[in-house]
Amino acid sequence: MKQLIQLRVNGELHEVRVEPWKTLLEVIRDDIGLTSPKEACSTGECSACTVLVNGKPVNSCLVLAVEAQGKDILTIEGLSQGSELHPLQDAFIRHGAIQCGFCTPGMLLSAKALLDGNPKPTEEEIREAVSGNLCRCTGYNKIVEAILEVAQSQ
Amino acid sequence: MATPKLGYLLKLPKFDHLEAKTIEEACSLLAKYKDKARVIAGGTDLLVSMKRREISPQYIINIKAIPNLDGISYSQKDGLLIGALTTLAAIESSPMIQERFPILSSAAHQTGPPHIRNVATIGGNLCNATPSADMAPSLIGLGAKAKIKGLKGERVVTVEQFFIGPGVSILQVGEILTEIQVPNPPSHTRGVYLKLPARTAIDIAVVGVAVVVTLDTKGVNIVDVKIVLGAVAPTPIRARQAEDIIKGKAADNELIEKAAQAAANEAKPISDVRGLASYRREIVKVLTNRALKQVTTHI
Amino acid sequence: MPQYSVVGKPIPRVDGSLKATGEAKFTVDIALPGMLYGKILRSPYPHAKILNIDTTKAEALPGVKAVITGKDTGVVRFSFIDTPRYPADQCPLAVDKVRFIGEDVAAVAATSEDIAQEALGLIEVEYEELPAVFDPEEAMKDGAPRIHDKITPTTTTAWQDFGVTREARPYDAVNNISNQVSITVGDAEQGFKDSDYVRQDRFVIPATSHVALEPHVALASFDSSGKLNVWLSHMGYEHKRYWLAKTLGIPISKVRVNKTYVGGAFGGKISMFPYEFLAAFLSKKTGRPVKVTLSRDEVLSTCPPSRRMIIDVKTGVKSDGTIMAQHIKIIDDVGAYRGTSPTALYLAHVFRHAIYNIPHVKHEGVGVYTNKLITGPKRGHALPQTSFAVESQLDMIAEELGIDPLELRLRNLRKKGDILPNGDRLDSYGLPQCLRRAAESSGWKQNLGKQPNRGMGIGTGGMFCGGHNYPFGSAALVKLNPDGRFTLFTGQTEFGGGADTAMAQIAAEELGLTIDDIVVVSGDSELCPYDIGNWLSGGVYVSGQAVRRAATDAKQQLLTYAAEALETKIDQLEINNGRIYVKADPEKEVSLSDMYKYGIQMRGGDPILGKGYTKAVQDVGFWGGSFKGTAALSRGGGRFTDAYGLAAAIAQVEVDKETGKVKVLHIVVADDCGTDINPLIVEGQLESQAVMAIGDVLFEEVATEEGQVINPTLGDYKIPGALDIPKLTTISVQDYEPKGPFGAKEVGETARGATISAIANAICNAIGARIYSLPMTPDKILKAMKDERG
Repeated sequence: MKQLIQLRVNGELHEVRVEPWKTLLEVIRDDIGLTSPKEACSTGECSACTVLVNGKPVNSCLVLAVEAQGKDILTIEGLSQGSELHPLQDAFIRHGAIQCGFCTPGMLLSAKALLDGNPKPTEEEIREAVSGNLCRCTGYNKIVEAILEVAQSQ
Repeated sequence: MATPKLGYLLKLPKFDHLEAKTIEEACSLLAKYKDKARVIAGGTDLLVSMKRREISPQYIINIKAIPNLDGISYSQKDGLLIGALTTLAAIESSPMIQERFPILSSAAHQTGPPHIRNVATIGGNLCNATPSADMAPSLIGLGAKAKIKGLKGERVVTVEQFFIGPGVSILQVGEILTEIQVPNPPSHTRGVYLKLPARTAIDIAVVGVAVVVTLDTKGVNIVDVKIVLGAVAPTPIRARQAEDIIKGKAADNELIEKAAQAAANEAKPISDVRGLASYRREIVKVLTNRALKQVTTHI
Repeated sequence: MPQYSVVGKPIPRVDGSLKATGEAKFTVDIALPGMLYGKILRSPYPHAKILNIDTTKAEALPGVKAVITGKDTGVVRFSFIDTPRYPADQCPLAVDKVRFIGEDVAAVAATSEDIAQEALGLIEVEYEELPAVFDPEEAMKDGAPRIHDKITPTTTTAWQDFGVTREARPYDAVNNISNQVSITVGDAEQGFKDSDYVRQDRFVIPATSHVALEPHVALASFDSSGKLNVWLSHMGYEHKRYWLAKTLGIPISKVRVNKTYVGGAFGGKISMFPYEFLAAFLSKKTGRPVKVTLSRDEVLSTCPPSRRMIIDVKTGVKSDGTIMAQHIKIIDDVGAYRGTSPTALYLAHVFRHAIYNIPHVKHEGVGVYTNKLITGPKRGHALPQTSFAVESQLDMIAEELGIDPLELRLRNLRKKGDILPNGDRLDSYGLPQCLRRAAESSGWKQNLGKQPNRGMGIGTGGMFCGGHNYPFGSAALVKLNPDGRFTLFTGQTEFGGGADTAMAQIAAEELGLTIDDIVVVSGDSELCPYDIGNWLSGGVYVSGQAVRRAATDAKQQLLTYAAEALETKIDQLEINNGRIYVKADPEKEVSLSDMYKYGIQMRGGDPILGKGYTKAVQDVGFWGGSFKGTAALSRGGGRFTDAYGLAAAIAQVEVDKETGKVKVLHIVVADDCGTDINPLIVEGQLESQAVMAIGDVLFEEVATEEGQVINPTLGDYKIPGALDIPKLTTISVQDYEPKGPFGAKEVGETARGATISAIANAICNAIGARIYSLPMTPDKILKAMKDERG
């Protein structure tokens, strides 16, 4: 039943054998071994599993791995350059926008996708961009402030 | 003996994933496997139902490789044509739709968070046929049609006719939805889609009301009006009695109030975890009132 | 307020970069070689006898390595609270009957999750349905279905294992009553007689879910030496170790809880859960690691949500608003098993009694079994429920007497220095400042009653800082490294509250170092000493004190050796920035790194290890059959805690009177946590609780029908998102607590109860009608307005 597929994640090509019913989230975590996208609800309601597919944030728990071939997939492991943090990662840390950290990968990617397309968003646009990313710890304000700071400094 | 219901484990059941390269191929596969097969477009509704084991199709037919099923085009003659695989995000952000059919852009925006809109399609939103489908009221309000292709050829129905019941669309075995056609609205046409989300800002509609009016050249009399209610009946419905009350007349608060009450009476809401039927009926009145005022207010 | 170098600074978290890069590992991320996947089969009935379970088909499925039922696990009981009076009532797998929909009935370990799920589908269970009861007041009536037979403990109870020398007695849940509490202060009847105005009201608070983003998960691995390694998602390892050891019949010293980061907890991951036991049991049976991950739907429908309470409050006041007496009666709808009810009913009094000076109090409560899912603690435990009831009624009293609601609160506050009726002392008590500053920041005087669709409301909360509950205290160790930096060993659990960072700041401050000089080893039960955990509100106050003492101990050793090395006396020395120098002659110095060498070379190999420890409640304890100052869960009568965190909140809302939709405009949270160890973390805690309260008041509820949770999905159990956030103002009042480390107290739990009350009061103020239950949904709001008009 398994199919051999190729997935391009963080610029690297991975060959994996997967069944058609495996989600992109499961394959990234279990087969490729990148554990940053998290499975918190499995039904597209929390966006902790956010990855960027061709630059757009999607819930990877609702993408079939076999349908993700030929696309550019980004996780936060691909965000930092070696040991140098992406400005968003740095801002999150300094603003106290991280508590338990489970929603953080999804938040960072949603923010990155926003800023890539809209370098000077308003606070409302930032909240819209992360409106699908649930966080139970922070209350969101520090996350929004961190993203706003990066936007204003660009 | 209790048969274990294992939907709580939220894992996809096993299936074969087939890729259709043409519409004909998709229709053939659907006709061949019948209720053992389902089409996957964006997958955001389908895969959730499968994880919950509400449905367990053995064959999933991917239609995203079929050319010309997504895309937005407009002409004076044909109006707006939207491919069924067009994402809700594309509809929302299309400058042309924002300019000419802002109610659709607004409705698309209100369907859910960006992660879902980037992937979910207008076709999926309609074919899933939930009574609260956010694109439906405004499409029906604009008199939109749905083009359906099957092995026997193609047919066109109104979006209103497309909905048969909760989760049931007009599609027969072997058919797929290919395109939404929105006619060019007459001048002085305005529309608004008001959705009351159940709990949080991003949420399923507890009530959705679309109102599309065409005013006369003086902007006083309502030449034509469609009032469409979502989430308060087994399908999205036109509130025709409400429409009759104000059609051909000049809108004033009293008339609008009457029409809103009529719309509330026409609704057939149920009580569920998102709201009581009585509350929904009340909200139909409030939203219809607000929507009518919004589209008839002189700018 | 003393000035510190590290404490009190908004230092970025020590685990920030690990979480920002995805390096931080949660238990969901951990895989071991040969690992099997465990899945649980659950009861579809709220109350039924198990007649037979046939697992042969499931066992025969290729890839299945073990299938277990209650016959395999046996009658091994566990519970959050297991005392001689209230012995444990739950088994990890149902043995003879099931008592709630979702109860664990069987479990499978297989080589993949798909196979495990398929195997579950092959297990055949024969049930005989029994009449069920879902309403606690119905359950208490004669003739109601009996949910529990008499329980006779077959082992010692937990309390006895912890050192309480008392005989365990069988417990007979007549009328489905699981436990009771009755605490008396003064003479309530007389107090009511002396009142000018008495009112009685009933409030109903439903269960709400924690929705920690990381689902419940456990990975267990027995090795051939009999050692059990577990990786959990939890709030403190002591209770987990105790219960795993007890139920599995292995020595506690052979249970290692490994460190993982935890994706949120909020009170929902404290004591042992069936799935954790099952992971370990399956690992023992198969000889392989077993991981059990619950799905979100499983968590929402089977893990204990917060406590469902019906609270009757009767309060008597003088005409100037002075509260004379209060009688509280709580019905705690515990669900199928008792869980934390004895603690919750007792804490409902403990948390509130530090707030207002009420001379006469009768506090009663009863836990009642029903055939619904078990309930448990959630961020404040019983404080949110009791606060909602009491603070709502205070607003009603204020209105009746024509007194400003703020004035009414201020008039009834306690005073710093008060000794409470049970002997607890208020050495710090910042609540007056909290109320005043919240009033100022929210524009209370200017805004109250000024706009037709708007309303404002106040709430207060109190919280203990650790209690005398297992493990009763904390210890910490600091180890000097060759480079002069320290490694800190603390059992604290990092699930988002910032424990790793706060402990590091405390150690750094005491040792005159920066936070980069402290390497934190936390949350590993093998490497770290015992710890009170992060669920008894004692993280900073208790463990922080242990950490400070460990640092002080090391500092003393450093100074002793430095004095020798520099040929001077300790009182001549200063320690700062990694150096120890003579105050009068700073050139005469040694580094900490030097002292590492000195200890080893010149003092017989001494590497300098600092040890610190503290008990949560200093003056209480039990040994050899005698009890000193401890309070009994069922009747109080003893010391509760050594310090109280306090908070006040004011909310402003706008109500759309046509739709009943509430827009929260502004929330001000003013909290007294003694000292901000880290102001950035404190702000984060207060903002977090304010937002959580919005969900609690406006829409969160675990809805059940005939015992079935009907909204067990994140699509229908909504929590606030980024677009639901009002203006938030957080104020940290910092009334220095002399007994806390650098004056610090708890900060993670008090504000939620205060804010829930404030938002609820604001809504009722806006609509001019009272709503007696949560959540205040739009249809309830419209109905309340209609009833008020009619």
